[in-house]
Amino acid sequence: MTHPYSDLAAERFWRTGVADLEPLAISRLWMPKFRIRPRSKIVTAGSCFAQHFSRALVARGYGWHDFEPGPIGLDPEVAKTFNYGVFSFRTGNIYTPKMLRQWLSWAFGDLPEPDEIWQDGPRFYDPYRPAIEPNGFASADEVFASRAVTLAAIRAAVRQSNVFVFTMGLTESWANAHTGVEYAVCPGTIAGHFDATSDIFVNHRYSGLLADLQAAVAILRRENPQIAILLTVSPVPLTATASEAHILVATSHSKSVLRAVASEACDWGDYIDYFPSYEIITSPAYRGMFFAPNLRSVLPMGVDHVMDSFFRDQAARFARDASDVSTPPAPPAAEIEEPEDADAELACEEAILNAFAPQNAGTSK
Amino acid sequence: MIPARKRVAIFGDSHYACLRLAQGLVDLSAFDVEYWGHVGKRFRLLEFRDGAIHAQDELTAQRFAKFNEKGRTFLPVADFDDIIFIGCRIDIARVFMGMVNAYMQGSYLSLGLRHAIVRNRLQGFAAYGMAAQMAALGQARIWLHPITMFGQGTDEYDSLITPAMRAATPAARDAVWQAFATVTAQDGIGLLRQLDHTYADGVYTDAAFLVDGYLETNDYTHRTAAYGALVWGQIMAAIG
Repeated sequence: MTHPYSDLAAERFWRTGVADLEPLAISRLWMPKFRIRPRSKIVTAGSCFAQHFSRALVARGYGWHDFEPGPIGLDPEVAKTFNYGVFSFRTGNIYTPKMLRQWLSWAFGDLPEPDEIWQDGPRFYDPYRPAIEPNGFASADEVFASRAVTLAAIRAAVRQSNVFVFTMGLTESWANAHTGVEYAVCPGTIAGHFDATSDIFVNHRYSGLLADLQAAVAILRRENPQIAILLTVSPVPLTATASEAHILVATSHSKSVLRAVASEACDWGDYIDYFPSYEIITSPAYRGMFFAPNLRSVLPMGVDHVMDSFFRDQAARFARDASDVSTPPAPPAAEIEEPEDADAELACEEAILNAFAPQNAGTSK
Repeated sequence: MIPARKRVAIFGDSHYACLRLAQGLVDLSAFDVEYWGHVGKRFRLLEFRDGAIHAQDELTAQRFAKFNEKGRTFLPVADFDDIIFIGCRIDIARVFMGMVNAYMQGSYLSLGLRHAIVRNRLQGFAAYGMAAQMAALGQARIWLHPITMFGQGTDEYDSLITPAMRAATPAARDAVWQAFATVTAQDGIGLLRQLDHTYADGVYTDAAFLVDGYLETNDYTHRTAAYGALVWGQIMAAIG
């Protein structure tokens, strides 16, 4: 007698798919809907875990694109301090679907860009990316001038890329009670001042998250009908919760709802997919081995395993040799100053000798 | 009473040669001028201590003394009213071009970023650190004229150059120089920027200021006496 479970593959059963295996041998967690090629133009946005995605893509020679790079010659340390090269544009972390929707709406004119500014003494901060500059901006005009560059970068990124990777991080957020516009963080934590009369706590519900994500995806697809969207959920627990729940429970709630939203979104079409980095890091099958001792930060080995899984599952689905993508290519040689060659040295000697030759000895006395 | 002539030290690598060449073109009678310098390679063997720039070995000390009017083997700050750093390995071209490019493309860079870029670059040069240490002593005024941009026609910038850079306007160059001036001023150093009429093709030094025979010798680095005279003009205007 047969039944629907009788011929299923090993990974469909907990014992053979998980329990009997070494954690790192668990495979085929993802059946990608669309192929991501090394030459695909990929952009990344979202919570902090999304940073790992871009770095891994670059390390493997994939076409992660930065649409708001720093100026030519920018030192890597300065770039990092000013949040260049973290995501494909300088929005900083985008934790919620609503924040993504807001940024896209401002970039494409669906909503007017808000004019709210946070000021701390002589420094000015963008409420929607207050940590983007290490000490804020010198003026309100600078905030808007800089944001205009970011909005232009978002437009270019959406219109010119093939894959938009968005990592959802939180359901909890803070918003302006009067305008409803959501901040990146709670006012007063990184910058600005908390005002209980105008700053309201919002713990997004499933329906709201889904609506915001749907609206964001609609803008993405309207501006670029060919764009594919890859969703992930950050496995990093909340730092703190403003809900009345214990932080562990609040984290579970937040991630569970986001995870459910991601699955629902995957039913919208072949152009949208979910990659289970959240499960790879947080599932009990991995015994918490990917977390640092603070049980929050994800260790590099965890990130590596996530990204190895990503490339392996892509290769498996699209019949590519997994070994091609599991070995990162050698990074480009570090830029080094050219050693001064002998000819240059000689030219310098001659310039000095000529200047101090008797016939050129002007008087300085 | 005849006012004392200002004691001026021209400290540099081979880029200071054009100032020496220009001595017959400018009236320096109000100044006691000394040159103290040598080729850039020797700069890595210099250090600042006890209120003076010293060579770390005897050979280097003698090299620097060779073209100094008083045979100085070290350069004490207190002996001068003004010390002018010329070149001194301080090559700002890459970040200058990068910021000019951003300006021309309308890609706004915040003041904080511009200053961070400049400070990061200048701090990478040992000679700049010496200039800042000298300035901090308050015994002499310290001025800096970084290495000029490479000469028009060079292929030196081929890997960097963009159409926006070639189209650089005076306003673009001025905006970048302002960032440099702000940062050097924070360190007590006066900036002597490359004058705007000496550029060609946006970010190159006009071929009119390249040394004779530069095509044959492929020397797009050093400057003519005429350029040196322009720098002397800046110096005199600065130190009064």
